[in-house]
Amino acid sequence: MSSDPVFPVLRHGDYFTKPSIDELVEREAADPGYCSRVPDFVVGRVGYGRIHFPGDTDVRGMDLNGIVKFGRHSVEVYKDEASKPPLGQGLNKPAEVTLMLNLSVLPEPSALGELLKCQTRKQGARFVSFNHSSGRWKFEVDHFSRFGLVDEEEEDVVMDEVVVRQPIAEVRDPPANGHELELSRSLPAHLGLDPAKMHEMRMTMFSNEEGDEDMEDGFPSDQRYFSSEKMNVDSPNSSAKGLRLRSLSPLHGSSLKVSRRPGVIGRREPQALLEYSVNSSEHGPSSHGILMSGQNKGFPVRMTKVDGFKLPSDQETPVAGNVYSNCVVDAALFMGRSFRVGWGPNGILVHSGSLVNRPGTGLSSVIHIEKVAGDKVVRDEKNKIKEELTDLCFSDPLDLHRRLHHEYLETESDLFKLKLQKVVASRFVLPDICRSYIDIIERQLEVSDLSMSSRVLLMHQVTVWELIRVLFSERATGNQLEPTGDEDQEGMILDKKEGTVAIDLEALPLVRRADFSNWLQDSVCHRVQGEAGSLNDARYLEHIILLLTGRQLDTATEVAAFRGDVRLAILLSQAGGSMLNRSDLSQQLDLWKTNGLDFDYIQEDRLKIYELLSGNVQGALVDSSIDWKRYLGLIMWYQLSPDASLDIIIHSYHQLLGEGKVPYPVPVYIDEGPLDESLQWSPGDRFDISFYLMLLHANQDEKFGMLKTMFSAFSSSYDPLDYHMIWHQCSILEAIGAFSSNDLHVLDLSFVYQLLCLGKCHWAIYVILHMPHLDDAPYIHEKLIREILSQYCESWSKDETQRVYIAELGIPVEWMHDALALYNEYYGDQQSALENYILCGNWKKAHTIFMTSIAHSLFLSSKHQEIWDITSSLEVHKSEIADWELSAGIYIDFFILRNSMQEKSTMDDPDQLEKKNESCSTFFGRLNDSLIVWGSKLPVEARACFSKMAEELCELLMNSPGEGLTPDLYMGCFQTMLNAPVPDDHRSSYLQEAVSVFTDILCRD
Amino acid sequence: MSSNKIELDHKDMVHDSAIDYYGKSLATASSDSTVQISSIGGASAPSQLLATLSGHYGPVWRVAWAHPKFGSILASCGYDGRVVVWKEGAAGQWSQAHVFDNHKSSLNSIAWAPYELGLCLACGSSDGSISVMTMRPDGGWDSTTIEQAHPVGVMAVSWAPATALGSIVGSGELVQKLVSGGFDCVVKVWAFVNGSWKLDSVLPSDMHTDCVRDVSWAPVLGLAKFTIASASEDGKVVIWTKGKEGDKWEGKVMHDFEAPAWRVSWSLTGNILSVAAGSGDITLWKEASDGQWEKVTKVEP
Repeated sequence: MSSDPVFPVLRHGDYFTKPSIDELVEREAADPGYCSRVPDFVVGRVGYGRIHFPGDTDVRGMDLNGIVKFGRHSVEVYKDEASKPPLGQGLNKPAEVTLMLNLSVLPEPSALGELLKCQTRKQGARFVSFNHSSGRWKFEVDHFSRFGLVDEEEEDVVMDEVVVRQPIAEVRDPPANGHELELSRSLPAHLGLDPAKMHEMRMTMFSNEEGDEDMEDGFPSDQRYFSSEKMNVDSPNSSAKGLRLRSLSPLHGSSLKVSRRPGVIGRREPQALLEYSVNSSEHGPSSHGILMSGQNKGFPVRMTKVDGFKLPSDQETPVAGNVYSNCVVDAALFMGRSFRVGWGPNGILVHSGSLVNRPGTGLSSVIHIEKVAGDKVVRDEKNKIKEELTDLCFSDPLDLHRRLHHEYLETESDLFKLKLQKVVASRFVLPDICRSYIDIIERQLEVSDLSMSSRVLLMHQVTVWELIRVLFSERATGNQLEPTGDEDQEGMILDKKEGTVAIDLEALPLVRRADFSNWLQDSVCHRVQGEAGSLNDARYLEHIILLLTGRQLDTATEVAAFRGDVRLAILLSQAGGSMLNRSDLSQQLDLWKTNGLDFDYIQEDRLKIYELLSGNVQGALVDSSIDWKRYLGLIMWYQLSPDASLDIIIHSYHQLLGEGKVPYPVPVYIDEGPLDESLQWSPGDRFDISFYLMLLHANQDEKFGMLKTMFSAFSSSYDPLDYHMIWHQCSILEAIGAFSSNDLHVLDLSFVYQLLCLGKCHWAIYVILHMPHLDDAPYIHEKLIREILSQYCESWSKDETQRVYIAELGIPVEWMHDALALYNEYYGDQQSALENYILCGNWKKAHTIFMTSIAHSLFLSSKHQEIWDITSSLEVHKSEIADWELSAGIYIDFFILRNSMQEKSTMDDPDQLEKKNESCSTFFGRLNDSLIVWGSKLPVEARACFSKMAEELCELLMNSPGEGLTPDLYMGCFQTMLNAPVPDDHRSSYLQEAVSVFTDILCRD
Repeated sequence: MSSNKIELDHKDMVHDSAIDYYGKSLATASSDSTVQISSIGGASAPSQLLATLSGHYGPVWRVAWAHPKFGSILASCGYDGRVVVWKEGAAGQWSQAHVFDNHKSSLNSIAWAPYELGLCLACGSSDGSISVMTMRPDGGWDSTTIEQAHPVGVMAVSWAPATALGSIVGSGELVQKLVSGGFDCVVKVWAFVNGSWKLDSVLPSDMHTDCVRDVSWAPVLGLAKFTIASASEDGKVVIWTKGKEGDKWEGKVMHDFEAPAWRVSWSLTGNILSVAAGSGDITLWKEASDGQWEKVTKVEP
């Protein structure tokens, strides 16, 4: 008997064949060679299905369990591509497949039949029948691979490539229990690296992950690769997958994705044959087909087969050679731990690591696309973008900013000029400006669905603008009085006027102080009311203290009077007034202490009130927690004298702050909450912008050292990328001369970034034009603007409003067309690229595109007028274009020459013909030279174009009247035509014509 | 953007991903020896695999898109010591425009020069040298080499912005400088002077105590200083700044991740720095005030 195996192997009990293995043995003994031609061979699995192979089948030596895999509702044959025989051999041949469907997990049986028909057809099989009661589904297949290289299958192959080339993008989140497995790579043996040593090296380098089981998978040896431990590791995955498959409801439209591991492709579980969906419109081309081999899934057949990490034998490697033994392979790269984040426009991130804010999921071959949120401010509480918020947060404030009075500074660089802008405003118009900004903010507050934290911030912005008005605005002084009457009356009026002016000037600081006091009361009013609401009537003294912290003296007095506490009411009505009164009260308290008065008989709250009214703020509030604004107010109202100036008040608070005796002026989103996200914040990070404004005012004309901190986003917003309001505040304050700075580029650029993320390129450019001019970087504005125009070309060019606005800003139109031209050329729109290059004055580029992409197609389409228009506009600048005479100039001269030949065709003049001949000869020479100069840059159509030119001219030349011409001239014309770049068949016809004419000439003699 | 994930057809680790200039195409480099190019889909169109480029004989470490001024050009480098410059022809067909194989060791980093300098590519290799290849107008390529830039190996290279600060004698003067980091724990700046590359400055070497994994020169779009970020195996990311020409570089530790910091990359406007560190964690950082950097955790849902 031959040593070759004869009988197939069947290792699993639930698989069966017909004839059975035993019967095959018997028949082979009775009839040698029977196994090479088994008629009507059947292989199947109990309860799952069967495959019937009509005709004779060669089953010798087959490992049937390795070849055929029945899964629930699916079957796969020859999953391993390497072991699949050619078409028609082994089991890779026509067959009839029967699958037993489990009807209990499938949709309505009546509809199932149609689904199965569609599914069968889509996967290249032929539907035979479906039994609704038994669930038996029959279909026929021609082979068990979709990529057989047979001519009749070519169309199918192409279609399948299109289908399988589209990876399915996962919309849903990955399942909670499934984590993406870290990919591992097999270590190529021919590198000569010792896997054990490599593993040790790796454990040494990354010792913190010594116990990680996944790490060990990084370096499996060939033996370990197929060890039983490996199989055991796979088992839970298989079970988990089975569970997931069973738990899928019929409404699920797609199967779950599991990251593929190259080494375990051979053991991949069969995919579900059907994607059960009641809604047929959800049916898309499936990337997993019936009976497809696993190896081929997802790859077109013509794709170069990549076996992984292999180097050809002739390729030198750093490890194999001795010369480069000192080179160290980058361990992180080699072991696959290093990866990089790629940035795109609009703040888009691409990377293969963990999601931002979700660390620890490790690396994979899944690419994540995330976007840095610069537009948090335009989203409502459901995190959806509101278009009206975009207008109210960005467009309206910038429109307002634009309408303010501007100073312009022209910068000139190369050929272009830019008009840098700067807002200038007097302090007299500041109230109107602040009022306008407040109006915009109040309109934002009317938008529905705003989150609570957004409302808090918006309310705060209103108070900030009010504070700017209070601290920095000035009011007009002195009313003009009309002098009337006699001399005496006039003198009297002048005296009055002078007195008014003097009084106003002296009173201005006091007026500002009063305004500030009112502002402070208004800004803390809501907190006083909020806390007062929780007090009951029995604690009226506590209530009075609360009212005093908000300087609501009238209300406090009423409360006391209502309670019949007349003497307290009298004291309260004079609170914060005369320093003498405070001194008296303080002396009284000291007297009580000196005389040993037992304070147990006076309520503690009453004592606090007395302390406060005496000016001892610290003494009154030693055990109270109070916000910083009210504490500032308490110092202002009860401790310092009524005529203390604002800067004294603010400096006093700042000094006490340094000593740690007063509350820290925290930003409003920390102070008042609530927050949508948790923040990492610690005291000392920064102040609220209100406090910065106060410090700025108190600083007077000295240099302010906290500008950068003041204008970082965190001063007014918990969103570190939100600069939409603070930029305006900075701009207005600088406009009125509150400060002057050349060092706030971070603020400007961050706002530009935010605007670009929203696609507002025109506003971004507007902000750039407000950046100050720097001698160190004079070209920064041009650089920035051109970069934005170029990179965000698609965004602004499709928005007519933005285009118009950018032009109105004085941005050179050439820059816009330059960006458009580059964009069009990159995406293959040569026609538009040409137009834009012409408009931006890039004549060389326009000319090149015209010659290589445009001219010939226009000519062959007989659009001569367009050619003429383009070449005429280019001709004006031909001195800047190389080889004009051999390039676009050819088209101009062609039209001129052709017209002249047509015009004079009726004249019977030998001299004219001679001139035509010379012109044509010169022109044909240029055509030939042009073809040489442009070489391979010219497409075939361009050569056809030149050929057509030559043909037309030859035609005109041949049709010229030839009566009375000398033979030399006649033959000269033909000589010219033979030099034309025309096809050979035309040239041969010219030659025949020449011979004919020559023969006539000979016969005539 | 309805989809925030792209299932690539790579069969192994993805080491680098790059978006083209206009933000429409994505190139990925993988250990399966291929570079894949996909379209970045929007809400209405899913991402599609456009091309799979096979030309490397080992893991591909980096991909880099050239400026669209030169057409659709992509460069890739890998373990096999080769740099392949790919060019997209008609109908989305990619071909190898050029292949550099002068290096005998793994090529760990490539970076295109600013487009003002022409089509120019810098490559850092494990053999310790840096090559700079420049395409000539006739289509050929010139190559200059910085030998032994980092004795044990070059890990990363990055170009300085082309527009200069400070010493401008005319509007046409361009900056031609590189920053590199390597296994010797040092960050170095190189300048192209009189036709050859010279060491411009060695940044203070005590900032990093382990090999430098990546360096990235921030685009100077409005900020009046040069800025470089470097990431190291010791877990530190350092921000180097220099004001005018002639000033000295100053380094400041931005953050210590206490795990290897693999890569740093700047946003296009240079106001946000992304750091890949540890086992795949990504954080974003922005400069809050003078010299202080804060973490940005807001990513669009």
